[in-house]
Amino acid sequence: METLLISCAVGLVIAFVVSFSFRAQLKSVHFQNEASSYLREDSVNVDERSEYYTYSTRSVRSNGNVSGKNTINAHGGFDGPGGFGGPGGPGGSIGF
Amino acid sequence: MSELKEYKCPCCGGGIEWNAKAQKMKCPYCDTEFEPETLLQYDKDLSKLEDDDLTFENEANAGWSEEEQNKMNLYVCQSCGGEVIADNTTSASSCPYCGNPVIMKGNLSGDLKPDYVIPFKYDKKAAKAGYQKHLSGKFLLPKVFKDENHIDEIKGVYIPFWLFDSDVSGNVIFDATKEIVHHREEEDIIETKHYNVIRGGSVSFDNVPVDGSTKMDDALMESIEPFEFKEAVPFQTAYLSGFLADRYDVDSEASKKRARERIIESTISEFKDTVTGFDSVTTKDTSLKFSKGNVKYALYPAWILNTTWQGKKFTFAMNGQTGKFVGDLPTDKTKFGGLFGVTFVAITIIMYILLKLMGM
Repeated sequence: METLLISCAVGLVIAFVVSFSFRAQLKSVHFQNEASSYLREDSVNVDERSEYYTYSTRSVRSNGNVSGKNTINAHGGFDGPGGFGGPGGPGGSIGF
Repeated sequence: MSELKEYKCPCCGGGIEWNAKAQKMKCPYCDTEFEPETLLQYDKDLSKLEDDDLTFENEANAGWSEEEQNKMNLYVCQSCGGEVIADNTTSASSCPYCGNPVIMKGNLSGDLKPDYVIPFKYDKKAAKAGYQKHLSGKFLLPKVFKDENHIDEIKGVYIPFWLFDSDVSGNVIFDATKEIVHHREEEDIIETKHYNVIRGGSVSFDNVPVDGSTKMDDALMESIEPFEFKEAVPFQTAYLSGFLADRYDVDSEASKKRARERIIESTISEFKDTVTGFDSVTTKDTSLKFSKGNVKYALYPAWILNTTWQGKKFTFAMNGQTGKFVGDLPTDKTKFGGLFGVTFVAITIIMYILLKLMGM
């Protein structure tokens, strides 16, 4: 019975995805959110860049699911080089 | 008298207090703790933000000359109220928006004359081919819809657009996160680190179009974009020969809002692209200023086809400059149900056999 239920659930999901992807072919009218086609060439100038750590949240996941409400366990503070961000972490310094 | 400074929690926006036990600043609402230095920097960044200043200046537009007015006729649709312009050599008999008859109304006195026009590059034959291509390869399109031939009613129409130029400068603050998963025996601890990311700079936009006709669906017109303004030429009535031109009924002032929205979204997107190394990046706040803004009035070419099927109106449009064809099509509900059912049964059977073979 469990096998049949799992098979039906997978069948439903895939049938939903396949049918609606075919239906999406019929829709071609959408608002454009941006105006990127009208950007002046070489006009993008980002001269101020800074980023710093503010806080952390923690959640617990058991058996592949996130369980319970997020618990906040935060430590504010700036990252030094190789500090909180750790290897591969975002720069973590102010005004680089 | 000293002024009490209240810091807002970057996490939930609540007022933050000093917590003596933790020896840190702590939010009483979400319990998040912060080092005082973090909040000082955060507050400094927020105080740098000014309200968005997003204004355009108008470029002076000229009206039609008497000679030009004498060459043009204004027609109005008795059914939908749509107004179209055609020169003396072009007779307008039916409305490009609803297909009903139009009657001559008068001249264009008081109207602004377009500054620019992009001439049609695709003819009616190409528009018909575009329509046929648009219908092909669509499995769920009702066959009857394909068979009903409305294609000869396709019309070349110049659509009025307001074109906005602007330089944008300012700052955008993002909330960026990085997830670290600590694996335990029975559970995983997911730690999400939040970072305040600031990007400042400038971006310039030229000729962002907003359609100036209420009769023309805004989403349809945005769907046939982009238009290449470099091919625009100063307006002359001769370009209207053989085509209709929609008369604008939304002025540049009313169109600014849409131009602003798109310019702001693009500016945020450009700044966001420079934020790398995080798992998620969300826009938190903006302080943007528009400068050197001006507005032009132009006519852009489009082939329009209206058709009604089972009581519902369908409008198709082709960009007369690039050939891009758009228009929503109806769904054959029987085919849709059949596709859903067959896929569901087939996948369920395959999954059932596979799971049984795996011993489940």
